[in-house]
Amino acid sequence: MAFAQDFTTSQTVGLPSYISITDTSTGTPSATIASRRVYFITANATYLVQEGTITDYETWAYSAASKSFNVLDKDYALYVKVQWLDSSNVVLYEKTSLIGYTLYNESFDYQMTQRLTGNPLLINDDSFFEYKSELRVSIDSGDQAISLASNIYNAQQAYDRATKLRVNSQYYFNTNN
Amino acid sequence: MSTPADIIKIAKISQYLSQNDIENKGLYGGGTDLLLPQKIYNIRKSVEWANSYNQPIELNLDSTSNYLNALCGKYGLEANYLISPGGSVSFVTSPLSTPNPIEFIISGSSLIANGGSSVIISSFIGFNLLFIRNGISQSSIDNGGSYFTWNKGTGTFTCYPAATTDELFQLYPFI
Repeated sequence: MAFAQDFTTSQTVGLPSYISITDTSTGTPSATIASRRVYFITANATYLVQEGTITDYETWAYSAASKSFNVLDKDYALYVKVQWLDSSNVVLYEKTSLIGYTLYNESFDYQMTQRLTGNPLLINDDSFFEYKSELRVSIDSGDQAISLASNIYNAQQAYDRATKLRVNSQYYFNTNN
Repeated sequence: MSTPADIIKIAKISQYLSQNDIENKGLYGGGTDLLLPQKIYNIRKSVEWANSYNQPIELNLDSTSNYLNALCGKYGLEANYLISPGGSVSFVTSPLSTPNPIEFIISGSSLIANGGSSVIISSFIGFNLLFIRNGISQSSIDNGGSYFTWNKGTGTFTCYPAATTDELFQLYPFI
């Protein structure tokens, strides 16, 4: 069976800066694969890499089925490009997917929900629900820009709106209640 | 006790129930919080996200899903009625859809012919049955006189003794 290159990614609650990638390829490669490279490409065409990495990409040993990369400092829409290389670093196979990573803002939104369980009437606070709605809409908009239109720029813009609410939460959410 | 997954389903139904109710009640939504559908949606999305991870204790999922359940209020009760434990929508029989009664006089060509005793009435499946024979309501208990049996699952009706010419049979389905 011919080699069908593929991968999946995930995030783990509590570790929003990490992206875990798993190789889900099937079939037999036409040549021996020696290693992989992973590119995390932003809407601004910059590359996200781990601290200390001097290349545009991260290496991923072929012997490891999965690997986690600590590359996120906020929510991003990213082109994730994985290359399968031979021992001479010639690209044998390649696959790119557009994926939204929203764990920072989803976690924050959930924190706001948890806050409501301790103070249910907080939802009637004028600004609290207004901004929580904007947060939700922004996350959903980013996800839909990806799933419906594969539009990384609009997705990133939406995620950044949510990020603005998160990082400036003291101004938008009544945290004293 | 409802699980977070159940409450998410309840919230999805409560969302449209509340929105339609507000619209139908006109001015000021009859006193219902006009933002309630948006609030239910907002909290449900958040709880649904947390429920997608298999960490209910770390995420304090019971508290947030119970809050969501409370937010749904009376619409949650209605939604709970509409969903089965399996999550599908239950069949709810409406009185308006109850089939019409069947009345006939026994003859050689009636629904139960002279000398016959059994018939399948598929339109009555799922309903209970009141059987009146010659103006006398019949029991399904065999006490030595006339009686009948009714299987609401298959729609099989049987009368004892067998029908004879010119008898009046009245069959009334009810819930």
